[in-house]
Amino acid sequence: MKKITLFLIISLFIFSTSVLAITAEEIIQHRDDNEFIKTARIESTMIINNRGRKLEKSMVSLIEGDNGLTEFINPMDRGTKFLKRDDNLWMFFPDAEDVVKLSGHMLERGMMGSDFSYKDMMESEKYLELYNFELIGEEEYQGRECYKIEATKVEGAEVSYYKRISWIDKERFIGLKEELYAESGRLLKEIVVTRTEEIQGRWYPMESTMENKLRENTSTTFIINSIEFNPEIPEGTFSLESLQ
Amino acid sequence: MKFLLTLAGRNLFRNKMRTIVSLFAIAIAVMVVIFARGLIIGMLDSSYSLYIQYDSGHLKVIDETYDQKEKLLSLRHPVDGFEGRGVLPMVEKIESIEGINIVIPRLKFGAMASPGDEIIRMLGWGVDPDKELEFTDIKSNFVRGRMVEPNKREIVLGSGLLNKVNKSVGDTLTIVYNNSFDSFKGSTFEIVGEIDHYLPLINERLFYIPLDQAQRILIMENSATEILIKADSMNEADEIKPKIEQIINNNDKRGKYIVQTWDEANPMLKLFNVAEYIYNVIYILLIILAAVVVINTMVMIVKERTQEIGMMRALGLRSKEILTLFIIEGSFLGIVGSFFGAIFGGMLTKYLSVHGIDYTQAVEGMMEEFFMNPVLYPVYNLENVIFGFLLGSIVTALTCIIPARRAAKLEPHDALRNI
Repeated sequence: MKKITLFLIISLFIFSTSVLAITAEEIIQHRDDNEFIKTARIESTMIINNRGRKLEKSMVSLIEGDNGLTEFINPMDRGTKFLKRDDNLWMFFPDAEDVVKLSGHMLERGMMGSDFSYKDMMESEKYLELYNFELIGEEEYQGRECYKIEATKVEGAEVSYYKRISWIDKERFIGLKEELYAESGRLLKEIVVTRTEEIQGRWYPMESTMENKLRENTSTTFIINSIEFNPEIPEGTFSLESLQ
Repeated sequence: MKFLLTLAGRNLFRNKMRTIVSLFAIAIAVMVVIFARGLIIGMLDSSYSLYIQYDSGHLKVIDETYDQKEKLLSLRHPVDGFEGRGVLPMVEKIESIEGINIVIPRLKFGAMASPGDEIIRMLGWGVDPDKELEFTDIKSNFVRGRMVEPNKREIVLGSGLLNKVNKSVGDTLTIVYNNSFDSFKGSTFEIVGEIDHYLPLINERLFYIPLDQAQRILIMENSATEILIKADSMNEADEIKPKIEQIINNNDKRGKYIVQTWDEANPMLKLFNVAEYIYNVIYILLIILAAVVVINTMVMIVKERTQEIGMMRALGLRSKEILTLFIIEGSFLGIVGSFFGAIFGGMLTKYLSVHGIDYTQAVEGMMEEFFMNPVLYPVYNLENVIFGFLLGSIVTALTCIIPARRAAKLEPHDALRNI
């Protein structure tokens, strides 16, 4: 009888842990469900602190899958537009006659002088397709229980950062902090989410601050003033003609 | 004395081959000195002139912090005039100082063009077009079109850069850049001129736009990144510097500006200065090397003519006269050798000062770093030829004293012992 009881206890334990244990991929899948955007209209502000100087840039973005169109609306940059189509980025400037295509190293530069690179802003694939994930621990961060997950680039995938370590809220499945590393192991950037909100049933980071660790005394805070998921986007929005 | 001169002449013609070899050595050394000096002066003058035109002027006024950030083309530390009242009144005020010929503002900034998938990095200069033409030799390097005009959205580029962006005069070019508020911007200009210049900076990287247009697109109204000043000559820079500093101190209490002379702005040019001294020492050493041949000839002559010297001393020739005799012989070699060296050196320098020596292949990599004309034109002038002639004659005459003294010291009985 004792043996049967012990067997039952052990079986129950094994069964319960295998049911309750969540894999790193599942955590990321949950996070992607929250943070990955299929279609959205976002009004946002970027506050750039660069060696004592503070600059504010406001923009409206339309996103649909791999495509995105951003128009700056702050007085200094009014009329400047970015068009992202797949992996390509074009810019329109009110003072220029031609549309300018950005490519290569240009995309790794800080967008409009910020700590976010153009590539950071262009990433639209689901992380699950780009990285191998490993749950490396559980930690409390900003008073919230978090999974700590290490993501290493899938061989052959084209990504800006070789490794990412993320702190993901256990309850809300939203990233609260992320460290971005080069292949050499050097910390390149750190992004900290300072405000999250539940919108249309999903948790979304509304305010985050990026620090480029390769630059001194700079940081960029990205604030989402409003976000609308799955809006109607007129046909032709993401065409080169719409830029001009 | 006439007797000594005749004797020296006869002695020199006793062994013609030996005399010719000595003359040849001196002549070659003098020729090399004249040519090398002409070449070095030509090279340094050309480099000084390029640095002054395209980098530092005779004097330069910049913001003190800009000095460390010039390479980054920072727009955060501009020259915005006295108490921020605009760069042009400041230019006019400095131009009114006696001894100053021309003062120009330049607004330098980084830009890019993106023809196709390529990124072409460029260097933009916002300039006062008329003054820029007066300040530099750029006017003679236009191969097509003309210089930009104020208040027009016009741009002038080097031939190499035009090739890279795949454009030509008459087309439009869109450049992208960060303005002074770090906003990424793009602007389109009409290409009105093409420059073909041997400096890669100008040919392959630089473009000119009117100063007012640069100020507009970079949002730097009334500002420049530097003011360049030309005096009557580069030697007057040190004298004029305190006058400019005084005017700045009297009109601007912010203490943000510094005035740099050409050699302060370019530590490289200080090295050039030192190099000039070193070269002068090298010329003297070169002549001494040739004079060693003469010393050797003279020592051999003294050795050969020991008995003869003894005889002359026994016949009443004084030691001083023996010394004079040998100095005359040595000086003759020095003067005649230097004369021919000066003639041929002068001719060679004169010829190359017109036709130049093309170093293009050899200095290709260096040209990005240094400002130099890849076709070197040695400087021909009479002063240089006379310098070579005198240096050859004097150094040879002085070195002849050693064997001449040896001959003069010979006692008649010692000299005659071997008869």
